Amino acid sequence: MIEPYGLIVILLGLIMAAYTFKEFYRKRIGTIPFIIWTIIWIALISTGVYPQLYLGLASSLGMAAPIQFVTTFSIMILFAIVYQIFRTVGDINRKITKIVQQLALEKTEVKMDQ
Amino acid sequence: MLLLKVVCVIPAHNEESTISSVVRNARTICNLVIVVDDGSTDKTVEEATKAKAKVVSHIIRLGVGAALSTGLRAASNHDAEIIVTLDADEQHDPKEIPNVIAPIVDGKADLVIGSRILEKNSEMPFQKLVANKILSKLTSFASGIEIKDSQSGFRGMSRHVADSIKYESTDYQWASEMIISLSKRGFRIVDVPIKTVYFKSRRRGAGFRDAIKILYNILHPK
Repeated sequence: MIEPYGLIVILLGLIMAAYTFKEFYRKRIGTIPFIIWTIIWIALISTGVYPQLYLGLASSLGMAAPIQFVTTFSIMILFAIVYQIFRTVGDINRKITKIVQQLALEKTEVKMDQ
Repeated sequence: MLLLKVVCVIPAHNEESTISSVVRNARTICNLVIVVDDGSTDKTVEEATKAKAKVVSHIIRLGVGAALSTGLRAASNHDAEIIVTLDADEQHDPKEIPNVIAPIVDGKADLVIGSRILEKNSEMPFQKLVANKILSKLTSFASGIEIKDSQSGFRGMSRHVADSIKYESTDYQWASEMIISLSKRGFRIVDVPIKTVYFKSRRRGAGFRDAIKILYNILHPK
């Protein structure tokens, strides 16, 4: 019997998996991110379909219910994603700065040559 | 006019009301004045061009640190021997440029900081003064050099210093990062007193958020 929580998780997982596939199909994400995200969505969906799979794992980690395991695991993943986004934004910012500075200098040189 | 080629770099963002007079005054002392327009949306570029400055324009606003970095590269491209950086808001008096670059001309320093606090009659607002003193202490601690005004934008440096400057900060944190980075590579840094005029209507500069970022940079040097 699937719990209401399970239904929400399955629905969310399926929507996100479909969205991820669409992004991969349109070549907006690479193969490795596609595989990683697909694994994450499958893991999420399976917590809704087979909650008993996580019972043993949750109890061995001292957690009362699979939902605690899922929540804790999800928060950990979210922290990792936020960190990755933070790094990416920093990298993009540095690249934009370099491009804008280079453009400014090149434009000035062109003006001087004319 | 000095025998060495002195190039003045002025970062500017929406400074149409003051840039013209700053450029004109700086031109009486410097061989070339470069205004780095940091994504201005007013007539800063037109005013600076009219005042006969060389204008380098960022298509978007990157921050004062990035503007200075662009300006230093532009100055090097124009064969500068000494580079002076000034604020565009008339806070600094270009007539003091000879005092700021004197230790470089005399071969006694590689980087000179025009210190607003060394000046006894400094008009720096109290809040700014306190923040500045704290940041200067932190910068002095991290660099191992006693710096009275680490946030001053009025600086003089020799060409080889400008060419070797590497900092990643694009905003106000550049001021401390530059000092720390250069001191660790053995460059000689001194400060000289300068006069500063503050206008209540156009007070800018490092704020609380910048202070936190500067502290972070000091604790996590790149």
